[in-house]
Amino acid sequence: MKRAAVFAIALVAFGTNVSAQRYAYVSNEGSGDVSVVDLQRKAVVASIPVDGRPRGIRLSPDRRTLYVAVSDSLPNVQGGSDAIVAIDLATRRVTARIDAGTDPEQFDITPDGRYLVSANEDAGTASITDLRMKRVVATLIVGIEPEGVAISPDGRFAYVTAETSNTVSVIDIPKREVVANMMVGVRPRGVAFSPDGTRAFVSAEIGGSLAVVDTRSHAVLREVALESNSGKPVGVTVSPDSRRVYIANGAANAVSIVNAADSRVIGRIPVERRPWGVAVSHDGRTIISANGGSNTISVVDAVSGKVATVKVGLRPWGVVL
Amino acid sequence: MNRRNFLLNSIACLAGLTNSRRAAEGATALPVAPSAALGFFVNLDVRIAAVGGAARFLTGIRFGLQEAQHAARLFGASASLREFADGDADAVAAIVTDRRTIVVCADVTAAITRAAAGGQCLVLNAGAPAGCEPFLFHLARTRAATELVWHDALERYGAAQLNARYAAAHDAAMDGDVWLGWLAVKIAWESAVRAQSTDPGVLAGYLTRNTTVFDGHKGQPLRFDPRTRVLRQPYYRAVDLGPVMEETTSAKGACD
Repeated sequence: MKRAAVFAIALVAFGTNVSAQRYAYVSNEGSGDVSVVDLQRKAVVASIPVDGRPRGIRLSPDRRTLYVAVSDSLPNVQGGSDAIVAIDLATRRVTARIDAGTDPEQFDITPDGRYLVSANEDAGTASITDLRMKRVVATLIVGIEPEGVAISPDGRFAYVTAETSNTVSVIDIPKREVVANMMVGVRPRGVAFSPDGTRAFVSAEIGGSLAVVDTRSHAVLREVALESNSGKPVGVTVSPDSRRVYIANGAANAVSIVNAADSRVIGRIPVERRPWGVAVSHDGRTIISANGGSNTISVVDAVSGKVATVKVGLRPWGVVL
Repeated sequence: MNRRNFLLNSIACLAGLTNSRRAAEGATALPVAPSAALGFFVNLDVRIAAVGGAARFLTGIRFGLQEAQHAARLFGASASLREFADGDADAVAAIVTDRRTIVVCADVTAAITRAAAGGQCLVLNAGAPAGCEPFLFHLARTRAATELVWHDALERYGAAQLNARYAAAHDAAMDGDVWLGWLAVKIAWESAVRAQSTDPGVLAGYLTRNTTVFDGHKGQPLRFDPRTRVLRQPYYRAVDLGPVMEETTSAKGACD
């Protein structure tokens, strides 16, 4: 679909105002830092070093704290760098290092800010960390090579993808147990819930597809082919109105747009090389991809259709705003 | 019967590195109850027979079985392995004709060829492509000495994670023979799960669909050429581990 058509859809959905969120935060696994990007100035205004290789990145529900998963280069061993670091956004300084098991890569935080669920890639586990006590309170065996984590909007379930076993494990957070498992596409990576909680979406990097999951039955409804199954999709996010799914297709240098209601691919946004992470603003007017192959982020104005490119750190991996 | 190693179907006994590490971390046990949403997996019993092959190939098969059993347990299914020497002609003849066992081998013997030709079993051959029977699939094309299917120094596309898992489980480096053994079991398990069958005809049909792909941690979807039934995949230069080529066209096989 041509870009004009894509943005016509966005225009109808989101109106014409400027996005309210001012800053985007980008984890750079190559340079070991977090770029703070001023979205009005389209420029990096700060760089926050973290000790290790930052990948997964999330904001606390009150938006005062940025959490970043950092790991070292030693697989299967919990090294000194393996942790979730907490960054106070007022001072832009690391204020805590939180144990989240070995080699944390992706994680999510419950809506009440109490628990953090992380995927421990090399241990084949997922950890539940109590953020008040700042310690792991449960470690659960999930699929092989766990990666993506998303928590349902009601805070009850965490979905954890596993790349080698092609599975998604469903963790009941209050019960602290795995209650279901699903087979999805080949090499699942990212996962995101729709804000209305009815659906979850799982990208499959090698399968080149997106699984649509019914969150009530924890069952896959269908697999949607993206970029002719050759785009290597990774990052997934859903618009605030639950109508659009945005998927970063690393090999296609594009962000796909899927209509959540009928699972149709309704557009694509060309961005720079190897988009990996993707985020959408709370008002749905700004879409951002972290482009690991070009050391940039692409800031997409959903109203005008303009794509601005901002240079960030080395090998940007994840993005939140 | 001279079986060298018989029936490794106990999940509990396959507590290799990953389980011991999890125990050290205090990880809780896998849930016993399978997913209600995937109850159809409960009775799936994937039986694999390894026939012949070098020691490192068999080590890779056992490693692959550990991972298949981990995945199987998520769904209340099971996966098991029986190992046979090439010379165990009677045992091999029995197992390759039971229509329930997926055969993994590094050498296509006459008995295997007959069984594959008659559709009595699905065969995944890790050796040089030999034979064009419709149920005989080859995991790699014939390679020059300078071409590798795998190396323990590979890092991208999850290769580092796979190498690390194997090294931690077996205190050894994953080479091409090990990788082929691991991949054979991965393909056998995944095919049975996704096709919801261990019937040779169903599996052969699944493997030759143009939508069927596998992840070998090489960054590209691996798929069988429907004509030659040779797996298309990237190979690596032995000197610097650069990619030799990415197989996007029909691989040369025994059917040529």
